[in-house]
This record gives sequence, structure tokens and C-alpha cells, in this order.
Amino acid sequence: MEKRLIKLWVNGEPHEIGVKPNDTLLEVLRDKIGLIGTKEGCGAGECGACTVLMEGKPVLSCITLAMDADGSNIMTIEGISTGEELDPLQKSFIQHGAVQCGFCTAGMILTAKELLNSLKNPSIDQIKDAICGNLCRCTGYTKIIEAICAARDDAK
Amino acid sequence: MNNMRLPNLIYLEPKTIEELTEIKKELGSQCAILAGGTDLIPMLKRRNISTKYLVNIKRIQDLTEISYEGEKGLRIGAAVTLRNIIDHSVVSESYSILGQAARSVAFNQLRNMGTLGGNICLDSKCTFYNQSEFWWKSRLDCFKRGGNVCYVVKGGKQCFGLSAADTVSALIALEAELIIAGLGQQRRILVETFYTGDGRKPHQMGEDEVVTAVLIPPAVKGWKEGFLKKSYRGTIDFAIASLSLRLKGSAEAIENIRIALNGVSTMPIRAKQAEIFLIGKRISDKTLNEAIRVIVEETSPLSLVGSSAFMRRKMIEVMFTDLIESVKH
Repeated sequence: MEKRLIKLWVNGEPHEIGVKPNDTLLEVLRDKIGLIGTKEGCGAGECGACTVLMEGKPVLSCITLAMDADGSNIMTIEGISTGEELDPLQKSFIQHGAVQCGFCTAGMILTAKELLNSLKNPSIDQIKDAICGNLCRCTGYTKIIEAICAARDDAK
Repeated sequence: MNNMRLPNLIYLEPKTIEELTEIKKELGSQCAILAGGTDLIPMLKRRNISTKYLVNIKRIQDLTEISYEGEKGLRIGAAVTLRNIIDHSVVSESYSILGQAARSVAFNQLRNMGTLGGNICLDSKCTFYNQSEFWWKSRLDCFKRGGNVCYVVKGGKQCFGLSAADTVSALIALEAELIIAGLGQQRRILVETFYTGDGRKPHQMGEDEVVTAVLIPPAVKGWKEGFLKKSYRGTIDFAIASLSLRLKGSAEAIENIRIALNGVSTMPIRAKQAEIFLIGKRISDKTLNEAIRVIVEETSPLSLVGSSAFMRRKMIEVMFTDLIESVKH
């Protein structure tokens, strides 16, 4: 298989990486760039653990080809904090005990981040709808929704 | 065990429709079209299907644009994402059932990736066919895998894969057409006549052809419309059924009506007999019950992919009654 050089802006930093056609964006982020905050859950686009923001919108990196992502802006969980300071959503997840095993957390926070960026005051139903593609198998949804609500209210 | 890494592939990225049709002419069934990839990539990972070449059509600008002209209507490129359709002002103002139908597909992330062309060309879904390569080692191949048996309909003589795409009933109700490009030519076909009903090859499309756009006629005043979809677990499961309805007139006298369903059988269905029965009628319990009986007869629901035929019949009844109620005033 022919390797090709692709360009990605990950969390604002440019990367030029040689990838094979069957490399997924998730594999590139984790194995080539070393950003292991993004998780692989089902690997088949069903659980949302691998969610990253591509051009600002949540997508599933486990079913996105790296070559297909060529030239795009990617935001991972590592990119939403500023320096040592956590993002308000991250702080809210910690304060509300919304992290149990933590496997869904990165995807959950990124999906919520985009929701709060695009809707200033989402209702509980809109929050539930936005995160319904992010499965939490500890089933801590109540606390997750509370954390997103609190971050929404703090931002007002 | 399942190998969840993608198999070896050759990746192609045409920049124009001409380049795309040349590739398609040369490679035919050896290549798979990659738009959103939300169905294709998992299928490749599970070794449900195999392909030598992947052709990404998202770099063709023409395929990623939506345009609206009063006289021509709405043109949506095949690689426009469902999210962009939902967010488009003309769709929400004039083609609300299309927006609702796109909204009902899967979940947030998949709607950001998945495209309208991909939903229209979605492969048929089956409780058996969609199992992994590992699972299939213990069974004889079904029709869709090149064998001679159907596990859905015992003794069935063809593939009974389910036509599951959620946007299709809305497109049929809106009288949408597809533009299909082949090398040096293009043709138009009504969405209604695009499906074959044979799960092995569900679409009326040659090996050298690609769907490039969807055309929806200009919105006309006087029609009311509604879309409903039921599934067991909102976003995770395929539909028990989806139903689109457009009605002109009032509860006293239906001037015109269009009823389309998908997710119930091997192909989407326009309930023509029910439409003919209802035109000119007053809406009453009696006419409604008769219309439902006709719709169920026309659709002959199947038991597969997460729902029994019994449940499908019940849900068609519930959805049709609710939709008529919502549009009759």
C-alpha cells in the first residue's frame, strides 16, 4: 500500500505525517502523534468513545480515514484546556463526579463542548440528544447531564 | 476473532465528476464509493464486504453543495452531510420533512459525517448478512454472500435484506429525483423507482454509475406534511418503520395525498392504493381504518433487523393516525 504525506492541524499545531490508506484518524492520533486521550471503544462507529472535533464538529475518528482527514483541523481532549487550566466543562465533570471509569469521558466532553459552542442555552432534552451517541457503560448519565448543565449555567 | 483494522486498500481522490466517472468505468465493482463512510468503514472492518479501491468523493466540490432556485427547486449534492441539510434554511422553511428525516438518522456524530447520497445508496440491512466473517464460518452463505439460502424468510427464493434508510420516504413524498452520472453522460430517475426490492442489488444503478445529486421540485403552497420514525432505542436501532405524508386539502375533502414508507420491507414503498382510496374522501375513523389496512397490505412488512412484522404493522397504524391528525387542520 502506498504511503502518503498528509497535513493535519491537531489542537492548533501543524503535523505532517506519512499514512497508509487503511490508517484511521484514531490510529494516527494515538499511535503516530501520541495523543492517547482519544479512546477506541467499539471501533465500528457505535459508541462515541473516539469522538474528536473535526472543523469544530464531533465526528468518530475510528471510522474516519486518515487520508480523508487530510488538511483538516482536529481538536482532541488534550486541546481544550489552556495550559495548566482545565476547560470549564472538564472542571464541571470533576466537580459533579461525572467521571467513573473515564473511558467515555473524552468523547463526552468534546461532544458537549460543541453543543455549548453552537447553542448558548441548550435544554436538558437537547443535551440528551447531543450526547446520545456517546455511550457510558458505567451508566453515569445523570451526573454527566448535571455536569453539562452546570457548565452551561456558569457560562451565562 | 474479528480483526478490527481496515484491510489493505488503494485510496483514490477524484477532484471532478469526470475523473470520478472515469474511475468508476475502469474499476466498476472493484471499487467502493466513500462519502461519509459511516456504514462502509464498519462493514470493511468487520470483513462484511471487501474492496480493492476506495474512491473518496468528498473532494468534488459540486457534490458537496446545496443550491436553491425558485424555478428549478432544491439541488443537494450527493456528498452533502445530513448535518448540513438539517442546518440549511431552505430545508427547514420549505422541505421540513426532509429535515426531520435527516434529523432522525442515527446520532449527532454520524449525522455530521453521513451524507444524503450515502443514505440513499445505503446497502440493505440484515440480521444475518451483517454479522462478522467469524460468525459466517459456521453457516452456509446466504443469497447476498453469493449462496443459495435466505435466513430471514425460510424457503425464500431471493435476498430479503431490509431497505432501512430514513431519508428515503421523505424524498419519495417530495417527488425527488436523482442525478446519476456515468462516463460522458448522466440520467435522471425518480427516487421512487430507484429501488429494486432485491437485497442483493438494491439499487437501479450500473456498476459504472454514481449518484451525484438529488433534485427536489420547487415547494408548492397548500401542502401540509409530516414525518415520523419509530425505533426501539431511539438512535441505536434501525427503524421499525419510517413514514412520510404530504396532504393537500382538509379533513373534509382530501384533494391530494402522498404516502411513503421505508424500513419495513426490501424496498421503500409509496402507498399508491391508499393514496387513490383517500383522494376525495372525508377523514373519518372508517376511512382511516380502511386506509391503514390498504397501506399494510401494500407494504407487507418483514420480520428482521430489530422488529417483528407484527410490530411494524402496529407502528404503521399508529404513525399514520398521528400524522393524519397533525396535518388535517
